[in-house]
Amino acid sequence: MIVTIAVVTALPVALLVLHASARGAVTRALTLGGAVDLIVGSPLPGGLDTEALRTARATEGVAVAAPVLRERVRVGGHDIWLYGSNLWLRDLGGSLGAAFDERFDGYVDDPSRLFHGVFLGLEAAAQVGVPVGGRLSLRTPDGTTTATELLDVVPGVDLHGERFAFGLLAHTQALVGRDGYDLLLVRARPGVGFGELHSRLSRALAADVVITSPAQQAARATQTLDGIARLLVFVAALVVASGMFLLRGAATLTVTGRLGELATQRALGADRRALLGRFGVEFALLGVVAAPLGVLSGWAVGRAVVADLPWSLVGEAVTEAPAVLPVAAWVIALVLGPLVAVSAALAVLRRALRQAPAAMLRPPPATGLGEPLPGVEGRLAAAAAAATVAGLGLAAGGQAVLDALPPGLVSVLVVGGTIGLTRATRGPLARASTHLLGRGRAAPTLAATGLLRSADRTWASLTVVALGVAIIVAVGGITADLERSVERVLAPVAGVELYVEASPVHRPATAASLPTGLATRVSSLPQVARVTEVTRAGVAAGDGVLELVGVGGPSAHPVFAAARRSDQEAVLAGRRTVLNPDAAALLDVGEGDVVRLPGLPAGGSAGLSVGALVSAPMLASDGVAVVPLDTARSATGGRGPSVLEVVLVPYAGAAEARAELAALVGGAGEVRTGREVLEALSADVSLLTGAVGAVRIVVAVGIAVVLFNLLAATVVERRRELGLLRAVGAPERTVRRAVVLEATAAALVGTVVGVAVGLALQRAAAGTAAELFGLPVASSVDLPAVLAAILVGTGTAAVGAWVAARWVTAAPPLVAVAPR
Amino acid sequence: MTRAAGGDGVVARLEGVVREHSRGQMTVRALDGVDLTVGRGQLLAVVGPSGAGKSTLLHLLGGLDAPDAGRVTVEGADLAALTSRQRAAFRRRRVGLVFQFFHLIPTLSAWENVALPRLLDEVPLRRSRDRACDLLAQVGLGHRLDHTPGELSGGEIQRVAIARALMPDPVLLLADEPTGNLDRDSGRDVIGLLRQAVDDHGTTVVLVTHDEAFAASADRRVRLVDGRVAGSGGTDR
Repeated sequence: MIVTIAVVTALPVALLVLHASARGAVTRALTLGGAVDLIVGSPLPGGLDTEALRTARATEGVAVAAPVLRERVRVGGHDIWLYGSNLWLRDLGGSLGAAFDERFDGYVDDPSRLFHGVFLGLEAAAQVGVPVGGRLSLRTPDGTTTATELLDVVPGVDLHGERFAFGLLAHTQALVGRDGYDLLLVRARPGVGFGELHSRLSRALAADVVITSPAQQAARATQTLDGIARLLVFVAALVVASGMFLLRGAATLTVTGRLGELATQRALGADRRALLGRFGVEFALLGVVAAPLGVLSGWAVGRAVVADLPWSLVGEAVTEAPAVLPVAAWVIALVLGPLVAVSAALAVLRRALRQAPAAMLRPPPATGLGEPLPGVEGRLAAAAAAATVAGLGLAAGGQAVLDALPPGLVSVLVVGGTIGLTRATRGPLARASTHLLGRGRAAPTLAATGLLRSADRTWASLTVVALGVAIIVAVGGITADLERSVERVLAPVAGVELYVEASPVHRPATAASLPTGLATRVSSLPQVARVTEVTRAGVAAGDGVLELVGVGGPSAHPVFAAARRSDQEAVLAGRRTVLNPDAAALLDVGEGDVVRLPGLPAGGSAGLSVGALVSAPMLASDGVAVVPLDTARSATGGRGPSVLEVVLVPYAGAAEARAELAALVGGAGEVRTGREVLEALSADVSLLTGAVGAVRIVVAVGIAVVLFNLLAATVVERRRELGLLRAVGAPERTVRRAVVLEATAAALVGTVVGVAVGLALQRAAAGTAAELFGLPVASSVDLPAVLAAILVGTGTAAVGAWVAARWVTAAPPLVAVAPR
Repeated sequence: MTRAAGGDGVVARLEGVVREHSRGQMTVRALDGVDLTVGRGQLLAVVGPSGAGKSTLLHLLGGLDAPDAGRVTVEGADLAALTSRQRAAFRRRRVGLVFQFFHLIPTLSAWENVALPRLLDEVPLRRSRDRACDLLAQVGLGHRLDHTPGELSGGEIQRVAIARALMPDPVLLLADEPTGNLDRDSGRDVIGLLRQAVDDHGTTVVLVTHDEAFAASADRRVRLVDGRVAGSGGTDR
C-alpha cells in the first residue's frame, strides 16, 4: 500500500519540481537581465574582449553596457555560479541590480576591500557555511584553486534557489584566471528601440558576436518548458489514474485479509459508519506515511530531469537551473497520498460491509464467467468499453479531436476506458489466458481453474498489467517518435560531406563571413561535386532577432530541406521565403502573405511571398527565414558567405578532401564534416529527449516495483489455499508452477491489451509531442519499448508470483489448516 | 471381531512422541511422551479437552508436522526420515485428511476437489471424474457435482472433504473435528460416512472429536489430557 501510494504521488511531485525549476530559470533570466534590452555574447570560447565593451559604450543609443563574467566554481564541495561584473550593473536596474546597489554602498568607502572579496547569495551562504569575513576556497573546472574573502550575504534576490557568488569583474577574472568576460548586458537610452539598437551594435561590434533579445529568449524558454510540462502532465495523469486502480487492488487485498476481524466487530455490534471512519483514518495515516517517500522519489526524478534539460537553449543569460522543491509539492503529496489511499480503501470496504457478518466469514463464491455484471457496474463497464473503442478509433483517425482535449483528461479517459474494457470483457480475456496453458497436468489445470473461476482476481491482475504495459509502451513510443523525427529532419545535414564555416552553424548567426570568391576556388577542387553558399545574418524584428538564411542552391539547412519542393524552387528563383513558426510569429505573417523582411536596405526587395511554415527542431536561432542568397547578401551589405556546404564526388577520400579544403580556407574559417555538424545540432535535442527518456525509465521501474508488489501480495493472500494444496499432498514445485502459470497467463493477456492501448496512447500524444518540439512527429511502433513493456509486464508478474509462491510454500502446510 | 492393534495389524505407531509449540515467549508442550498404536481397519476416536494435543497428534500422523522427540511410523515408515517430497507423496497417496474448517479449494467444483489428490499425482482430471462422481454419490452428493464450495452448505462441504479423503484409497483417514462446525444431524451423517469407510473399504480412521456420543461409536477410544494418554478403551462391535 505504502509503496503504491509513494509511486502515485512521486510523478506529480516530479512535475512540480520541473515546473518550479523551469519557471525559476526563466525568472532568473529576466532578473539577471533586469532592464536589459540586449545581450551580446560570443559563440567562441574565450568570450568577449575589452574592445567590444569600449565599442558598445561608444555606440549611439547605448545607455549602459555592463560586462558579466560567468564561471562555475566549487566551494566547499558545492557547485556555485560565480558572477563578475562592475558597479555599472547597478545602473541596469532590475532586482539584482537594486540588491547589489544597496550592498555596494557599504563598501564604497573601502574599495580595496571590495575588490578582494565576493558576495554570496543566501542559498549559497547557507550551504557553504563560511561566516562573513571568512575565507572561501574556490575551485574552477580546470582544477585551479584560489581563495577569497566572503564580503557579505545578499538576501532578497529572486534567483529561485540558484546558488551564486558575486564579485567585481577584475577580482573575479583574477580568481578564475582568465581575462575578458562572457556577456555584455546593454540598456538603450530612452526613445531608442530594440531594432535600432540591434542594428547599430551589429554594425559597430566585431563580426563574431551574437546579439540576442532576453525577452525573446524568455518567451522561447517559456514555450519550451510549457511543452515539456504538458507532456509530463500527460504521463503524470496516466500514472495517477492507473495508480488509483492499483491502490484499489492493494486495498482489496488488505481488506480481504481482515474480513474476519471486520466480521467479528460487526457481529459484536460495531457500527458500519464507525468502522468506515476508523479504517479511513488508518488508510489516511498510510497515505501520510507514504507521502514523504513520494516526495523524495519525485524530487529525485525531478532533479534528474532538470539536470538533463538543455538550458543553453533558454538563453545566454540563463545558467543551468538548480532543481527546486516547492512547498506545493509537499502540500500536494500530503493531500494526494491520503486522499488516494482513503478513497481506494473505502470503496472496497463499503462493498465488503454491505454483507451480513456471517456471509463475510464464508468462503467467497467462485465468480463464474457466464454471469453478467451487476446492473450499474455492468452499464458503467459497457459504457467505458464503448468509450475506449471510440477513443482508439479517434486516436487512429481523429487526431484533431484528441489534440483539443487537455493531455491529463486524455490520460484519465484512456485509463478509465481500459479498466471498463477489461471489466466488460473479463470472461473472454480469462478464457483466452487459459488457452496459453498446457492441458492435463496438475499445475496448468489448477492455474486454468483459478483463472476461470476467480474472475475478479484474473481481471484485476490482467488490468493492472495492461495499464502498466500501456504506460511503458506509450511513454517509450513517444520518446522514440521524437528521436526518429529529429533524425529525419536533420538527416540532410549528414548528406553534406564537408562544411566550411565562418562561425559555427549550430550557434546563432554572427556577422563573420568567408572571403568572397572562396566558393569558386573550392568548387574547382577535383574532389568537389557541388558547393552551396549560405549567408546567415541576425536582424532585429519586433522585440526579437530573426535569422535570415540566404541559400544559393539546394541547401541542407533544416528549414530549407524540410520545405516543399515547390517552395524550395521558388526560394532559389528569388520569389519566396520559407519561415519557421517562430519567425512567422515575430513578423506576424502567415502562409501566402507577402512579407517585407527587416534588415534589408530601403528601396531593396519589394517583398517575398511566404511559403508553407516549416518546423525544424531546436535550431540555434529562434526565428528563421530562408531567403534567396541575394536577399541575404543585401541584408549583410554584400559580405561573403557564412557557410559553404560541400558535396564531394563519389568515392572521393573525405579525409584528403578535408585536409585540402582546410589548406585552401586557411584561417578564414573552420572545416567540419556533416556528421560533426549533425552531432552538434542534435546534441541539445538528444538532451531533451534524454530528459523524456529518463521519465520513461523511472516510469518503467516504478511500474515494475508496483506490479511486483501487488502481484506478490495477491499470491501471499492465497497462502491458506496454497497451504491446503500442500496439506493434501501437492509437491512444492507443483504449487509454485501453478501460481506462476496463472499469474503469467493473466499477465500475457494483460500485456496484449496494454500494448494495444499503449500504441493508441502514443498516437494520441503525437500532437503534444509535435507541439513540444515544433516539428511533425510521425507515430510508429517502437519495438524496444514494446519489448521492454512485455518484459516488465509479464516478467514482473512471473517473478513476483514465483518469489511470493516460494515464500508461501516455505511455510509449513499446518499454517493453512490451523483455525483462522 | 476385535481389531487389535499390534503385529501386522498395526498401521501407525507413535513412540515417546514429544511436540512443543512456541506461543510468544512461552513454550507449550502439546504432546509429552505419547505412545500409541493404531490398528488396521479400526475407527479410533481421540478425545480430550481443548489443548490436550489431539490435533497435534493427528498432524503428526498425517506427516503435516514432525515431532521434537520420539518416532512416528506409518506402515513401518518413519515419517521424520522422509524428504519433503516423499512426505507430500505420502499425504497424497496413503493418507486422507478431513479438517474442521472445510478445507476445499474454492475455485474447484465438488468433483474436482474430490479428484484433487489424483490430479496432484499428475492424473488428468477427466480420468478421475468417474471415481470422483462415485464417491460423491456415496456421500449423497451425486446431484451437486459441479457446485463450487461457495455454493454448498457446511454439511455438504464436509461430505465433499470426506469423499476427497477417500479418493486415493488411503490406508489412514485422519479427521480433525469433522463435526465441529455442523449441526447434530449433519454431524451424525459425517460420522456415519466415516464408519462406512471403515466397514466397507477397510480404511483405518482416526477421528479427533469433542463429542462423547460420536466417540462412543468408535472401535477404540484414546483420551488425551495435557499431552499425555490418560486412558484407552476398546469397543467390540
